[in-house]
Amino acid sequence: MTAAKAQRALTLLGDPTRRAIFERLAAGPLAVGALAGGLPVSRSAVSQHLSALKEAGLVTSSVEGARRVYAIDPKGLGDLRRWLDQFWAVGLDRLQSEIEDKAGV
Amino acid sequence: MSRQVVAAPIRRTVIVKASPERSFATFVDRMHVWWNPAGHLLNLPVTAMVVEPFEGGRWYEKSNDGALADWGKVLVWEPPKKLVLSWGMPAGLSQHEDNFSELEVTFTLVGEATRIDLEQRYLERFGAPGQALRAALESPGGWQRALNLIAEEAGAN
Repeated sequence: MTAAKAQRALTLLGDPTRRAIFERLAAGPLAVGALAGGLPVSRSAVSQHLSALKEAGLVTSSVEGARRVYAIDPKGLGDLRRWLDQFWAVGLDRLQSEIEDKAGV
Repeated sequence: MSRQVVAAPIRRTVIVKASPERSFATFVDRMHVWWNPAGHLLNLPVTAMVVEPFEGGRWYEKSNDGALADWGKVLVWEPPKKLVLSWGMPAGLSQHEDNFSELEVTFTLVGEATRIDLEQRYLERFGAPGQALRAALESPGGWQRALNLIAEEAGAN
C-alpha cells in the first residue's frame, strides 16, 4: 500500500454516504442496484463511491452473471495497519534524531 | 456471537539520549520537523503542526499557503509523561468520536535516557463504526483473513 493510498483509505470513510455503503457491504456482498436501493443518492453516485473505495483497497468487485457484485476487501485493514506501522517506524527515527540533535548528544 | 474482535494496536518504542522533558517538548513543539512527510494532510510544505497544551485542545497542521487541517484533539495532557491524541478525519468530514483512532505516547526515564512508547489504537474506527465492523469481522470468511494478517503482525512485534 502506498502512502497516498493509505491516506486515502483513512479519509474516504469519513464521508457519511461512503460509510453507509461500507456498512452495508459489511453484512454481505451486494450489487450496485441493491446498494443504491436503500440510500438517498443516485445509482451513479453509488458507483462513483464504490470506485473510490475499490481504488483505496477497501472493497473488491467480481462479476456474477450480468451483475457486478461488491464486497469488503478482507486485506483492507491489514494493509492499512502495515502502512501505519511503517509510517511510525520512520516517524520515530526522525523524532529520535531531532531530540538527540537538540540535546547536543 | 458476543466475541469482540478489534484490530491489534500498533506499538513502537524508541530510546533517546535525553530527558523526558526534552523528549516530550520536542515531540510536541517540533512535530512538523520530525513527522513522517508521507503522512501530511495538506500539500507540502507544512510549516507547523500545533498541539494545544491542554486537554480538549486542538491538534492541527498548517501549510505554507495558510491552509489548516485538523488531525484531532488532545485527550490527555500530562507533560512530560503522557500524551493522548485523537486521530481523526480532515476538517469537513465526519467528526463523530467513533471515527477517531487514538495515539498514546508515554515518556519514561530509564537511567539517563528516555523510553518513548507509542501506541496507535482503535484502527477499526477509521470510518467503520464499531458495531458494523464487528459484524463484518464475525461474518463467515469475511474478515478472518484480515484478522490473521493483523495477528501475525502483532505477534511479530
